[in-house]
Amino acid sequence: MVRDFVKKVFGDLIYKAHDGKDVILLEHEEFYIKNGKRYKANEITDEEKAKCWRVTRRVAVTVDTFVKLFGDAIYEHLKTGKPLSEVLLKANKNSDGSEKGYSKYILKWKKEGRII
Amino acid sequence: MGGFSTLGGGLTWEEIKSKLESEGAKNKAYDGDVDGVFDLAAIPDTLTGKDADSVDGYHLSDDRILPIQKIAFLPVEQVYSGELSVPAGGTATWTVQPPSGEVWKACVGGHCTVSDGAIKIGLTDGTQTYYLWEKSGDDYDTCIAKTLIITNSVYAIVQAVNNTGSAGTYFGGCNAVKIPDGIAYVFADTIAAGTREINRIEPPQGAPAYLHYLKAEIDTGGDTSDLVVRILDRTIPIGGGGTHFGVVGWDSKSGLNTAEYGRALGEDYLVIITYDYPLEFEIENEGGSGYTGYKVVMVEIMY
Repeated sequence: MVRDFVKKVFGDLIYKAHDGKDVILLEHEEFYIKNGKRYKANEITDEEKAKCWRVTRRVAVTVDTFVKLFGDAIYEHLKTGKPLSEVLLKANKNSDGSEKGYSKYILKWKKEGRII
Repeated sequence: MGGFSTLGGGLTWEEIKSKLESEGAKNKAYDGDVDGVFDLAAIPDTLTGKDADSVDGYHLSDDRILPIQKIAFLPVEQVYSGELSVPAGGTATWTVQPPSGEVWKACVGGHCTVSDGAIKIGLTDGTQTYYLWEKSGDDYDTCIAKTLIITNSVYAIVQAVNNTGSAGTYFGGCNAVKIPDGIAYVFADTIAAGTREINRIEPPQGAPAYLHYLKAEIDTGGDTSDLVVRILDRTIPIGGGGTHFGVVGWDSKSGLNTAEYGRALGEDYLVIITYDYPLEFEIENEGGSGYTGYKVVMVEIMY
């Protein structure tokens, strides 16, 4: 149930990694470098892109790991109706005071209207 | 010539010497006894080695003379370096792709500062990824850097894996040197089942070292047996030359020696081999007759 919910909410962010695992894309950035200067994809022509270095940076997490980390919180949301962002942010905090590092994505998803 | 004619016209050597001793103030200063050897006192100290330190600060006996640089270093392109915060259980992946049509020798690396992180370095064509090296686990400070030959179609990938329960900071970077010689395309061929030998016995002229990408696309024909690539060398005994080759995308099979690699069917294969010796490849269908054929693409890069 939790896994299906995750796939429903994040479906457009999920892709198959080369090892066949389903992965949620958290961040993606692509830029081009020429003579030490960085350009975004929309700042240069396709012809110029061919002469540039292309660098991509991607941050991702497998669906399995995400469910493992936030499964209980998502279940709580489904059971009680508490806002998903609230339960996820709470689960993002470890008992030792450290963070799992998902708060910026949770806030982004809330801002985008993907979750409430 | 006129001077010689005059001198040769009647003066003996003793007369010439007498003239030099009495008339040549300059010559007297350097060669007082006119014996053909400059007086040591007349020569500047820096030329005699008596005071060479005042010229270059080095002393021959210090063994600090810089070696002659025999290698022509190419300019290094500092392509990219940057950090990413990786959440618990997550991965950060960098890909670094050179401009179209260019071949680069790139040093790519990664770094993490958590106790249970991992850094993987490999090659990708955007669809398939082959990780060549991985450093993980116990080190508090996990850092790895490797050199790859990369092109626009087969380029570098660095992946940081955060196996911890907390967010961590990871670093990825790439410096590169352009290889001027470019790619020498060898062949692409579709061949039937069986063993295919690819021989390159003599090194290409003018290439002291070279590298091969070998890709075999398999039409399995329903066969489930393994494909094996053997890397042979006629000058280095198999098993003894293990440090001279590297293989990507091929798993070592149990029971095979270190020069033999195989992998289950149904996937593309990519092999990268750095070599500076004559070598011989052999691709073999272990099952014997199951394959309907496989396509082999070999690209050779000289540098």
